[in-house]
Amino acid sequence: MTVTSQSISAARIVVDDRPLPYEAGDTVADAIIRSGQHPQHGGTLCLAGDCGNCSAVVAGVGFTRTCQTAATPGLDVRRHPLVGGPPLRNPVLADPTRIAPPVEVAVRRAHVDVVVIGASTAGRDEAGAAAAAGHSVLVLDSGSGDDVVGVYQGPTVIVRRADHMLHVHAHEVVIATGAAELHPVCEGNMLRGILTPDAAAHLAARGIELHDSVAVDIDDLDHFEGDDGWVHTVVTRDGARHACHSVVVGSARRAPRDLLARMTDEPSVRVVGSAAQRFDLPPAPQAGTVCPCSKVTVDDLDGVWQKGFQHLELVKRASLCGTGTCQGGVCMPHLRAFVADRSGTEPAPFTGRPASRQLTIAEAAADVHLDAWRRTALHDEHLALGAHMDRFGGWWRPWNYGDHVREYWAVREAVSLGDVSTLGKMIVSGPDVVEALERLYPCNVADIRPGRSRYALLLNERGHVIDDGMILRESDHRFALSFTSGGASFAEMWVRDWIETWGLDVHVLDRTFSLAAINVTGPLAGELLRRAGLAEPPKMLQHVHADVAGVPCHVMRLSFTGEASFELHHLTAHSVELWRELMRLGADLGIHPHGLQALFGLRLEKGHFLVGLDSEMDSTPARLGLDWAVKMEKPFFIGRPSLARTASLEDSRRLFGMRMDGPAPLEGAPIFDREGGEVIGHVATSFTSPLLGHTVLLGWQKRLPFLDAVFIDGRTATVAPTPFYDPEGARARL
Amino acid sequence: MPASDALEPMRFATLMAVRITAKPAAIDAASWPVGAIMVRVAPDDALVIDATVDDAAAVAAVDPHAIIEPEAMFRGAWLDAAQLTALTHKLEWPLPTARPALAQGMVCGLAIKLVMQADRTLLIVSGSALHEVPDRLGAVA
Repeated sequence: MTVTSQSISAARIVVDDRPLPYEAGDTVADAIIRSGQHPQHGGTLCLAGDCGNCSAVVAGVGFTRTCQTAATPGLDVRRHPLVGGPPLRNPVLADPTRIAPPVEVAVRRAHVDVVVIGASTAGRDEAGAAAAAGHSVLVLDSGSGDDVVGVYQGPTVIVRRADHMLHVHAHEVVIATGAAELHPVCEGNMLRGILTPDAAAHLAARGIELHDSVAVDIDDLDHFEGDDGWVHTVVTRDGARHACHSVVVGSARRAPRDLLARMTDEPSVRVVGSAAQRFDLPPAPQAGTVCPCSKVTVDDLDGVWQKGFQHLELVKRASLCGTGTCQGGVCMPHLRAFVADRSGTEPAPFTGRPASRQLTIAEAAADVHLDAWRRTALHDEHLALGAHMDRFGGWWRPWNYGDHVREYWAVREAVSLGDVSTLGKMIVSGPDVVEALERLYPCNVADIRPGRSRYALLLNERGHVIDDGMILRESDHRFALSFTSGGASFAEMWVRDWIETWGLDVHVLDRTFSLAAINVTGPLAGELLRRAGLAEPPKMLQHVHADVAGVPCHVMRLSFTGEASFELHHLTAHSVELWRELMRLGADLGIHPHGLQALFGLRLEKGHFLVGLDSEMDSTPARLGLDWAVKMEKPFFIGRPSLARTASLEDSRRLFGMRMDGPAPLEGAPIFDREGGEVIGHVATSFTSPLLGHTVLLGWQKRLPFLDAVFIDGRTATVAPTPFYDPEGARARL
Repeated sequence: MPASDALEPMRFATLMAVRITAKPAAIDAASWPVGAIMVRVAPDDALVIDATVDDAAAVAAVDPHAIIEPEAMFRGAWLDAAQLTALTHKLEWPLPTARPALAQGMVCGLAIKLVMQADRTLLIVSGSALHEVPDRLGAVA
């Protein structure tokens, strides 16, 4: 291709480190072609955004279509390597001292009745009709800078714009993207200097003159010849040879520009105009490159076909034809013609997938938010006390306050406060509430008296433990329930869904976020509560509503730490004042708050398991050693049929308490049957007990027969009954 | 988000309220103090701002099993028209056009409620997630 510049502009882009002038209104591709070069290393140019033959690294973003990118002063452009793709940039590896700041891309949203993609005649007609019908309409067009990236469920249309991403939420999407020109597939079709008619017209309009150009119809074309990468001869089927410096290949056939339509099967997405038209396929390709993006030739297609990949989707996957930048924009009609020729059946087009346009991670992630990690009402108190906060169960929680051993001893020997506001909390009330809870829980509920409580497992239909907590009876027809912090959201859905399914008359109110909770625990916990005005703290497994330090509380007596423990549930608005007053009143008692690190050890000494940490997805009560919490004599509860069916089967999984000398092994450490033997399980959680002077752990054995002694970290661990600490439970009842 | 600098910052305050779960007819039967804002989260679920448990006695009279509890977990900020328009750019779901109206859903990973009155809108968010508001909805403020 010989080109001439009408004038030389002062403005320049930088292509492969060399300044290159451009004219006002040029795209990057225009400027490169104006200089007598090719944006890539060959292949037919459409300059309409349909193919990937002009893509390059633009401003650091690879596979950018230069024909759709405006030239701007100093814009950095690097052509892809002749072989392979552009190198991945890793600025951290390149220079660890210069980590690029995070890039944030703005997002705008639009809510419309109808979004029309493509300002073609059909698109304009659709937009006009929708507007006339009183609908709000948005027209997106590449000519206006709208780079439609994809059509997602909703339907939602994601659009890339120069300075932001646009997310369009519409009732209806109309795709009116028109039809694309066919690219020639024959020997020599990856030479430089080959254009479609529309590309030639575009260049002419831009003042970029093609010299010694030949026009040929695709049906008359036999092959191209060239040297040094540029075409110099077109050979037609009649054997005629036409010398040239460029060639324009036309065709009466076109191909629907339907990539966006192929991304979705949403009924609210319509394709209109040429994009919906069924065009005749071209003749099956005989030679040359079918897929310029993935450099797949006719020989490659024949190769995979002969290996048995004889379906369009299989040919695509096996050869990678159609998996490149344009996702079939160029190769689809030729690939379908190839399969139709070999199979005798015309195949339907293959599925398209977002993104249809190259975009950066920042653009893809724009306005994507993870669910918020919540803070308890005491968050700032913890920080003021030097807490190291960490994320557990969807909440920021204190891991420790700098010295978890001190926190441990405060619980064992004095009194401590723990923030358990994160526990799931619920009130259920109604005439059918006992019936509902008897069905939901495997333990007995009806015999829990008002003012009393009971520990309970929550099972799914398979009899697997999904959560645990307390059932606290407040009156004949009203209960409070508690759940684990991480399981609270699911438990709420679980309870609501079942009650609704059963059609029982029960009200449900989730109080997880409404109530804060402070666990007052330790041998001096009762004394602290008396100082706070609770003259008669409840006995073990009792609960009362009473003021503590002037704050209305639901006081629950239970024990997770193994010491006397009182959970004070109260409105979040009062949490800080209650915490501070308890800390003040307990100062001379040696009060010190404890974090999760100490709590995990304290409860492990008692052998209490943690749902999700010690249990697995298919842990039954028996596997956890919790048969006592299941009353099979009940006629029904969720999970009972499964437990009844499997009761007589031999089970090779069991969570055991174990003890060993030396430091605690890591959670997940393998458990061996003997030194150098086979792995038979793993450590769930472990703790080096300051009080007991050795390590205690919960570990899974998953092979029969269960062993009394195993090997962990090269040391012997022996199975030991739980609780490891205060097995009679006297401390908790102090 | 354009022109966010020109917007007034959101000013959140704790909403003192009463939360009710009861038969719909029982909630319908209640009357509320002047100035209270009744947010009907669901037919059987209401949040009544600036009301107390005592104000809900009529609910319990109709539905003796109603759950009526004081509620202080929510924080609220009144938005003017410009702030609401700015917030709209972050919504994946359309706002109702009628007033008054209640809209609720996730925005930028936050669960919010919008109590939309004729001339202003109350944005409600859980106190446990309030610290995330500046980062996620900052451009609204």
